[in-house]
Amino acid sequence: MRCILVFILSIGLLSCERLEREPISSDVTFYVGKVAAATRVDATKQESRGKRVALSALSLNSLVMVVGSTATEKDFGDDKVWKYELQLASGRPAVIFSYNVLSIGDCVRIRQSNISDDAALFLAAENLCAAINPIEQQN
Amino acid sequence: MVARLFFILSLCVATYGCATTNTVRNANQDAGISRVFNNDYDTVKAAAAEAIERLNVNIRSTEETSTSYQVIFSKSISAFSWGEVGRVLVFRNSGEGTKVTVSAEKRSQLQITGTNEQKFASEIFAGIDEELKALGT
Repeated sequence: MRCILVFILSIGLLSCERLEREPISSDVTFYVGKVAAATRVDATKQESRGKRVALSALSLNSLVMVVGSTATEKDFGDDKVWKYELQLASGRPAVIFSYNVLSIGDCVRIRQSNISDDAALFLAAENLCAAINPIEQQN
Repeated sequence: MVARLFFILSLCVATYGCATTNTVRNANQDAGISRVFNNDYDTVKAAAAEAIERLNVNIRSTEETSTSYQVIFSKSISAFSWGEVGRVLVFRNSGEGTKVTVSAEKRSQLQITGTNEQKFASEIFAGIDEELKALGT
């Protein structure tokens, strides 16, 4: 009887693994930047769900901001994720981990949640990054 | 007698075949459920990557070729499922709009529980819709 009870409880606990989708934050800010470097890195080395760490630090004068996009689970496989180094329109650099595939020189829009550490990268029209080149030349 | 029958049945189940990430990776490109989004390839590709990432699945590999962007994912084992594997293809130059195809297999081919292909497709398509809406397109 006890075994049956434990079995039923175990099933009840484990069956919670349904397909679920995290909502997108409704309070977001968009930034524009240019891809300065792209490298493929091991996703397992990134902090699990510790993605999107620090674009919120945009307001700070930090040298490097790290934004992960590596929603991973503990049993994550051998996946690779892209590490993008960006030159933002503000002149500051940023580092973003993403599964999106982009090329060096691509102009991107970065959607950053204002209430969580969620961020996403989207390819943008080149004219949006027109102001970024002079900043790069200054460096 | 019952034990022998059970043993034979177990053997049949075990040897029937299991789907792996390679099963979906090597599947026909037309396999699965498709939907066309009225946005350009790059936007839909980014939206798809984000949509999959927001699901409680493991992204196993991503790859972009001259014709498509591919994401292979898996879903963990649970009490009623040995897990599932799936593939999302975003097609470049797929005519008007951008076609996205979602295919998924249960790891155990005999399993009737777990997440089916229709459920994966509807969640991923809904996620892409949300991403595009959030992007203001």
